[in-house]
Amino acid sequence: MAFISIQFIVFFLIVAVLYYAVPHRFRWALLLCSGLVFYGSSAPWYLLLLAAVTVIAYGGAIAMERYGGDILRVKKIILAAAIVLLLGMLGGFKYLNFFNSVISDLASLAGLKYPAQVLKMILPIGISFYIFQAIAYLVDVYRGDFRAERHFGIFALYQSFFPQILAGPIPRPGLLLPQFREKHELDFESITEGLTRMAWGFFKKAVIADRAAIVVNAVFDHPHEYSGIYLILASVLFTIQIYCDFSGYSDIAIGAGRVLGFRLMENFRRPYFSRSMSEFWRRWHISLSTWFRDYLYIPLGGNRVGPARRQFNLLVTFLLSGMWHGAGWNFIAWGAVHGFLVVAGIWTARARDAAARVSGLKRLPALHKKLKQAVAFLFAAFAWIFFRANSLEDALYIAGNLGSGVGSLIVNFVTGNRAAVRAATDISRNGLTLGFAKESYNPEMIILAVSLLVLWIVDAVEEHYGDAPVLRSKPAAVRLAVYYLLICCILFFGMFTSQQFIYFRF
Amino acid sequence: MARFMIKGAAVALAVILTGTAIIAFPGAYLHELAAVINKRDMLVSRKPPRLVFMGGSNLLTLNSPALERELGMPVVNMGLYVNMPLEDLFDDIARYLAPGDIVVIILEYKKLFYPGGGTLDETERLRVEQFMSLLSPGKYALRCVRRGTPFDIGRIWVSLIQLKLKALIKFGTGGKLDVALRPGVPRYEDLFDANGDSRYSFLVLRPLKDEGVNYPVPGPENSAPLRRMIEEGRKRGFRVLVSYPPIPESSFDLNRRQIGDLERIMRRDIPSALINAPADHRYPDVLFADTVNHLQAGGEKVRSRKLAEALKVRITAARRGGE
Repeated sequence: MAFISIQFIVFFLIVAVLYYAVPHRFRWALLLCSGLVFYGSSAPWYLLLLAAVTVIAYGGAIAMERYGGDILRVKKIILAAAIVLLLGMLGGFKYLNFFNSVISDLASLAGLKYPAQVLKMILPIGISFYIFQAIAYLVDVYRGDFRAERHFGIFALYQSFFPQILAGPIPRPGLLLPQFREKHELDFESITEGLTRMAWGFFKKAVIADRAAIVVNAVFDHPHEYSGIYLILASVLFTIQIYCDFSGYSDIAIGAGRVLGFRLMENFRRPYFSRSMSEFWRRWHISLSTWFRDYLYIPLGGNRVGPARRQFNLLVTFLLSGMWHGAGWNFIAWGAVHGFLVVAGIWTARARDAAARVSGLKRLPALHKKLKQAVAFLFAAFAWIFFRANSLEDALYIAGNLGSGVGSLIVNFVTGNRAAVRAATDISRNGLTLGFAKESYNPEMIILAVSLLVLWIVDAVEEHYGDAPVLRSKPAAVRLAVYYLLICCILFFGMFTSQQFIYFRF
Repeated sequence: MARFMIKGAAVALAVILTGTAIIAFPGAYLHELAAVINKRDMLVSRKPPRLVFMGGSNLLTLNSPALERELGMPVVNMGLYVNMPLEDLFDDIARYLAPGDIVVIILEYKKLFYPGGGTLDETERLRVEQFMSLLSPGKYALRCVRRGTPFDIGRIWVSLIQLKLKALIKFGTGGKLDVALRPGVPRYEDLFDANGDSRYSFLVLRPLKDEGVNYPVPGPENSAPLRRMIEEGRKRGFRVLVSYPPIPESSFDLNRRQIGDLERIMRRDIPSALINAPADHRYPDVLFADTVNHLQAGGEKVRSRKLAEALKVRITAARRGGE
């Protein structure tokens, strides 16, 4: 069931109405059934996998408490066994095809026959998310941060809570599990807040992300047909697409949770306002980056070790983060680029500080901040090339040709050679212009530009006021006008192409 | 709770009213199928008796002015797109037809062999239904309800609003607001001539689209829609004639048996409406443009001449009072 569909809206309305209609003691069962229906609607057999993950995590946590007691070694063995099982499932479904193709490539290099086609696995939606959620729960129980949940139904609900099962935010047990026992009263302020958040998510996804995707797909699917200026345009648009796609999804998930009275973890905090790549990772996909921090980076030694080891830990964390996103060399390269950028940020911190002092930028803090933001944005945009490209070869081609033809285009533009500029920018193929039908190219690009401006204004206002609810303090008429405009924009400018959220495939 | 509901209803009402206002406001839809409105207006603007061509895009490779000269009566070419549901279009424009009018139906083989729409997927069905809704909004709304997909009504109208707003943005920002405010497809007169023929030739592409398609064995159901339209015309006092569409020799030879069967069924079920045989419009492959339905200029000329000859016989006979 797609989030942006009439089916989901009807499903959600029914669940929300029933949720507040049934007594508190039955609500967990209602939400559990809703989660199973929602997740099972993609493919019923996914439920078996979800059930297996749930049983392993539930049983593992209870076993740690029952048989481990204070004996650390027993607890450790149980934890390790549960994690190995969970990661084994993730590896089997997500990475088998990749490792299989790697072995196949190596075999063909060695002149050996390897029947690669016999091992093709289908990747169930959301598997990476709910397995990481289960691991977080097991580790928290192991550390004694959280008591193992005894109620199997409540725990199954934790694993299958429908707003977040497909693509997070990956919850922490301590944050989400207790909320299932709390009684949520019908609170219209929360409902309005949740619906507004959902509408904003729909706007980001349907109006911006899916529109940008058309240009991005046109260029990234045939990069050799485009000159540097379009490779740059598509890379920048993908930077925006993935933000609007994923943060849009997160807004819908958090908003849906809010309507039901739940507070889910924030996943994005205006990442493109970051002033460095390490800040970027404190603002981007927060539930995953904190997961890697808490369950990988810190256990590896975190910041308590020497500089060299710390940088090594960072690189490992980013490489694994890249692999988590997808089983492919381009995702590994994406993780490596980010790891390198963060480590390079540490190496160059003093030099950059000195350069800012010498150049006088220190005396112009506003300009200095904007410059840092622009550089961080460009780094992020560059790294996204590896994430979006269809293969590592394509990614390297795009990265290596970003400047091709740009110089001559600028010269022709400056010298007023309109014919040459027109020839260089004529990219119509088979009646399509950058993926759009020729006649609708102009309005689509205008809608995209205006909606990006709206996004930037909203994000800038949020950045200025922090996470304070700006809209809530406004008069009712202003709020109603905003809701009206938001719904009109979604309906009248949204692209209802049934394009799935990018992160659903992870 | 009441307050919340009232506010929610107020916002919903405002959105619905805005959408209704956008639809009600005269303006163009940024899609070529919106030409169905212009074509209907063209039909209304011509005085009977008229010769009205109905069918898919094969009719965009027809020379209507030549037919008009040859036959001495106004020709209205309603042809637009193969997947437009012809029976519905027929019903929608039948109210504008008068005794003495002659409707010539030329359906593509794809439609003759798959009268129910065949492989039309949901997206495509909605795409054509939205433009048909512009002709008869109530009929299509009711159909969505009957088929158990009431949300399609919203999808259709939201999509139309989007196309209208895109036309407004495109021409409004280009300083040509008058184009955006004219009903139908923007710049209809640049795309179609006064008879409804396309002003543009189709690109010449090889292989031809749908080349090598094998048609199924036809049955009595293949003539049913045509029979109904002929009967409807008889009731309303105008005549409905049927012609075969153009077909490349290679496709004809590949489907010789099925086309022969189809011809026999048509001869049995609608003998008086048929004005030619499939072989009459079998042309060398080189005369086709991009698909098995679209002719190049040379083919268009031959086809129009053949149609004029066949129609002349019928029209003369009709004027004399015979069948």
